[in-house]
Amino acid sequence: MSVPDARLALPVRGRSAARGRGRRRRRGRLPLSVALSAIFLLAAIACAVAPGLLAPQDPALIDPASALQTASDAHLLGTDALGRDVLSRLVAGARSALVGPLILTTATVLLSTFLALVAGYLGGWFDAVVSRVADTIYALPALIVTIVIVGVFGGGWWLAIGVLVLFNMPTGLRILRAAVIERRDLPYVEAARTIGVGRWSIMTRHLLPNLEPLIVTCFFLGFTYGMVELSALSFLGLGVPPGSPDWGRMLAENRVQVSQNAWAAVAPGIAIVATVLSANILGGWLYEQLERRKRER
Amino acid sequence: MFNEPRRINRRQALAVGGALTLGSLIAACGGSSDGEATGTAPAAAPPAGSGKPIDALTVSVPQLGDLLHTTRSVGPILGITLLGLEPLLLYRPDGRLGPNLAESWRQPSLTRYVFRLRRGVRFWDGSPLTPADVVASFQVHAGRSTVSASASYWTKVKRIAADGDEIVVDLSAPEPEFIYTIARTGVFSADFARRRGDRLGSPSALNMGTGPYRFTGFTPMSRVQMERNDRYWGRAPPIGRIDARVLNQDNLLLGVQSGDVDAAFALPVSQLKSFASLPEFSLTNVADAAVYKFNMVVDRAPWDDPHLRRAFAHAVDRETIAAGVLNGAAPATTLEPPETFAGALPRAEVERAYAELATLLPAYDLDKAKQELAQSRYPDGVETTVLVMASDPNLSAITQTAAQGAGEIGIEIKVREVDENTYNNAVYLRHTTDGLSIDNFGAGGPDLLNIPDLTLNSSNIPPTGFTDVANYASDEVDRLLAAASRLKVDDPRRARLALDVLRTAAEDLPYVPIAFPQVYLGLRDGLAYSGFNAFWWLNRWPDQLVAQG
Amino acid sequence: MTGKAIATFLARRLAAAVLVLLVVSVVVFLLIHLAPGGPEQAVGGEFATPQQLANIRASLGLDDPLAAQYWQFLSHAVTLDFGSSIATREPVVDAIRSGLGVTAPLVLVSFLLICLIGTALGTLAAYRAGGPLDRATVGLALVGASAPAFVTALILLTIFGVQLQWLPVFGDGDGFVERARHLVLPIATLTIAGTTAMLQITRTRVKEVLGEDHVTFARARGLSSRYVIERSVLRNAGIQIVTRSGTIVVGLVSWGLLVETTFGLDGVGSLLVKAINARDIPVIQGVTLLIAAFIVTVNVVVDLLYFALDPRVRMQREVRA
Repeated sequence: MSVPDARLALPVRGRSAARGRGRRRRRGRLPLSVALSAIFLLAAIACAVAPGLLAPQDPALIDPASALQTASDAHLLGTDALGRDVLSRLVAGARSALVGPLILTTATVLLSTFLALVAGYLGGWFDAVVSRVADTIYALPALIVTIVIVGVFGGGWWLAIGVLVLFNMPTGLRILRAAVIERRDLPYVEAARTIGVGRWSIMTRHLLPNLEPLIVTCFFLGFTYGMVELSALSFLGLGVPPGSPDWGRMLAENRVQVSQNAWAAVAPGIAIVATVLSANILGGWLYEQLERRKRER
Repeated sequence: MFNEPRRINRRQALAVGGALTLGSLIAACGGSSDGEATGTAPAAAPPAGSGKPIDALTVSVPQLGDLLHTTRSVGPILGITLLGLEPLLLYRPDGRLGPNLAESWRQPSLTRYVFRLRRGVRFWDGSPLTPADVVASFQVHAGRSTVSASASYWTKVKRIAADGDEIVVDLSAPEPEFIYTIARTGVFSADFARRRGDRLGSPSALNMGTGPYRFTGFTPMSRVQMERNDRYWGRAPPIGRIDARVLNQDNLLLGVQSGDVDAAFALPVSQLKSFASLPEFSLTNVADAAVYKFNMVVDRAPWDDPHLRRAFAHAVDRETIAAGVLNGAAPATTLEPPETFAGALPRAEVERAYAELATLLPAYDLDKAKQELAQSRYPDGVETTVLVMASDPNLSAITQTAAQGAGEIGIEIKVREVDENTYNNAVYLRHTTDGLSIDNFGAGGPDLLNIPDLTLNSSNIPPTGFTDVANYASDEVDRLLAAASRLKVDDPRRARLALDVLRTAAEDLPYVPIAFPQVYLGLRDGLAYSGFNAFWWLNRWPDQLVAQG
Repeated sequence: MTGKAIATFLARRLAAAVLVLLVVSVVVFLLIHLAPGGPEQAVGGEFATPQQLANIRASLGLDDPLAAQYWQFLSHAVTLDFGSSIATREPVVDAIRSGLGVTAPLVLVSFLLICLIGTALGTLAAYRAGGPLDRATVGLALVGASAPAFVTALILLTIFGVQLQWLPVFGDGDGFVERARHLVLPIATLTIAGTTAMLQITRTRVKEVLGEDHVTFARARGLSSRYVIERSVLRNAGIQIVTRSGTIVVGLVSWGLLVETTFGLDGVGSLLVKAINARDIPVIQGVTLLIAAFIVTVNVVVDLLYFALDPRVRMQREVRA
């Protein structure tokens, strides 16, 4: 739902200081929250890339005899209902937690960028149609439409991804399109037009590079949306097969036995929140940095 | 697909709906005019004397119908429906049938049943119960245009008629189990049904019966509310209000923990430890008349290869699954638990037979598994997908555990979660799975030939039936089943034939039985229940509940 | 502001709304009929023979041409007749009505709380921009927005329902008081989820507005803070806040479904989930259209408010008119 605009994540102090009282902050100083977020995300990526190395035990090893044990030396976060080590599954789950939103967001950003460029630069009926459609999609409840479509067609992860790309596209589209419109009549673009540079060339070589900072921000924003949406879907039992170490699914499967081993359900929940939070903070900070760089130019 | 209220006994419901198409089940019920038949439930103490009356009871049940009517009540759903729409005969906790709306009955011939209706019974609205109501209540299940889920139990009924105070039912062929069908069929007001038409059983119209508890509210598949019928003709109902709910597994545990739920029938086994650890909640368990089993379709590749089947059977660690995943259920060596034969045969004989059956079922041994696989047509193993449903998490848990062992010898099993319709279609109705499937098969009735017949009789393969999931067809087994059907229901030879059937089928190994789940009853402290059995839903269970202290 | 301007605007918006609903109805109709498996499975269920299934198809008119079926569907839908649920034989409208008895209070009360708490906290934080309250609020809001509603729901449920046993954890409760008790935790969950967004937008806009000239001017004239807030700040910030609350309401519908599932509430959301599982066409169609109508209405209302609040928009219209 409403993930806040990335830049709003920042403490106010820095910005008003920069504006009102002159630049006090040194360029190199990194806020603690940003550093922690970056470290966490890197750790998550590491887990996603090499779960075999980082997981203390085999995340798929079923051992019903030791089901639902609380934290111990052998199992730092205890075991789940089938006796699997929770910590290992947490590590292994990083992959599906990151890959899904990654694919989703990449596709979304590609689509929004393309549409933003074409619609924003060329304008006309294409722009009108695209904007209209995007506005309509933006107003729809993503989760409900997704489960209706996926439920009625009998499930399928790729179907869910496809539908979610459509739903997440308008947010990025709006931001990027506005930026394109802002820039399309700038002197240097005019100049390029005058000397006869082709439309596509203008779009890809003049406008696009300027949009890169925004695209990065859109990516982070979209990533957080994607994580939240996909974890909700897997929480409802959609998408990933049973037995796979997916954080949303783990949460759903283990939440009832909270009284026996709370970590089995709480740990994946915390993991989801931490990842989304880190992405939010990092995205906001990146945007801030890119903004500042722009202003200094 | 989505995590929905648990419907673990939906499989039982299916088993009940399965066609009983034995050639002829001949039986002569006992000759006494009291017409008692022996069931196979374990003997239990008769209901305790009166404790304190219970004002209100919130009880969790595993399943409720989409309509509050007898046509949509099978299996555990009957546990609620029959409290309002009562049957002519009551199945008692000790396994015997007792008079209810019928004060007596007799069976003048193998195909004719006569029930004498009690006089002076009134429906909740005051109108009198007449034989015409009973006829209508039966007719709704029989006949070609019926939409009843119990229709398959009435296929042999030729004629239902009222004769004075009596109701006469004629069958086209003998069927000893028919008397149990009477015990699971509720009686409703024909007049009320006529007036309500299509809306009968809906939340706005509810239903009209004579039972000790009157329906006051209904949310399809979710909740039934009932109130004591103060003018009940029989034993005074001990409970003032009953709120029966289907709770999804999470909410059930939470409801019990917070004290909102007083009693829970058929607790989900997967959370047993959570329930057992609750301070003010106690559990009772008995063997359920059900079995978790793997099915292997024997008339197509690759599972038509007996070596592959044996290899897989050797790779399933039944002991660990029963103890760990199913929380202490008994590992299964055949398709029905030994308790089914209690009372039919001497205990020693049953134990001997089951010991023999145990030797016929391949034990967990990965080396032997590899050897068998090497002798099969697929020495490098096979890949297959097994369907499971979210509503029974044991299916997924058992399959994943078995997959671990099977994976070590080369049988790669992928687990795929699908919605109920897809699962039922593939596994039961059309037998279109990859060949390997898992299900929890429950007996539809107390008779000891119920499960063997449904799962092994060749007439239960599509299109004539669907409960023989493995498509198993054996002339020898069909012959044995036919022979059993020509005997009296309590003839010990019939029980022996059942054991022969199980033995023969075990050699062919169309199924890998895994475990006999226990069925659990949970009660908050201060409540006691006597005579809990696998067919609790056929009992008048409120009479077995007592408030103490 | 001329009546004519309002009327034109309203007419145009309503026309657009109707168009959207029509499109949705076509999509919903087609979607279900193209799905594999077929609707007759849900009626006949596991016990149906092929003959029974064929009968069901015939009796429900599932063999008629699609266009004819759609026309049937549409002409009935306009009178709020969505037929009867295939699974429960209950009229869809009745099922929705009883579901609304749970979902409506859930969503409305949550929304109210979100508006009140969100705007209050946001304004406060904006006024004390940079201070500890502001930073704490922003931080908490960020965490709150990073936690999906079902995670929040579980935490609340575990702490307050199970550990402390202060509140009931399942079902809807009968009677006003009981229902209220049962809805406390679900409402709390939704409120937390939505307040963060409301907080964000309020704080941002109020801050911006506070920096704007007319506020400085008003203050310089010595007008009281309260006057400043009510007249200038909120009114100006209000536009974007209103727009955002429209988004929040739509979001509440989605998250409400997850919350209903977690707490076992028999609301419209659970109705939809059950209907999807059972391929209960009439219910799916009815609920989806209801949700679409609700969203469209919210959008129209938001547009109207926008129109009323933003003098620039009004003036444009007036000039044109």
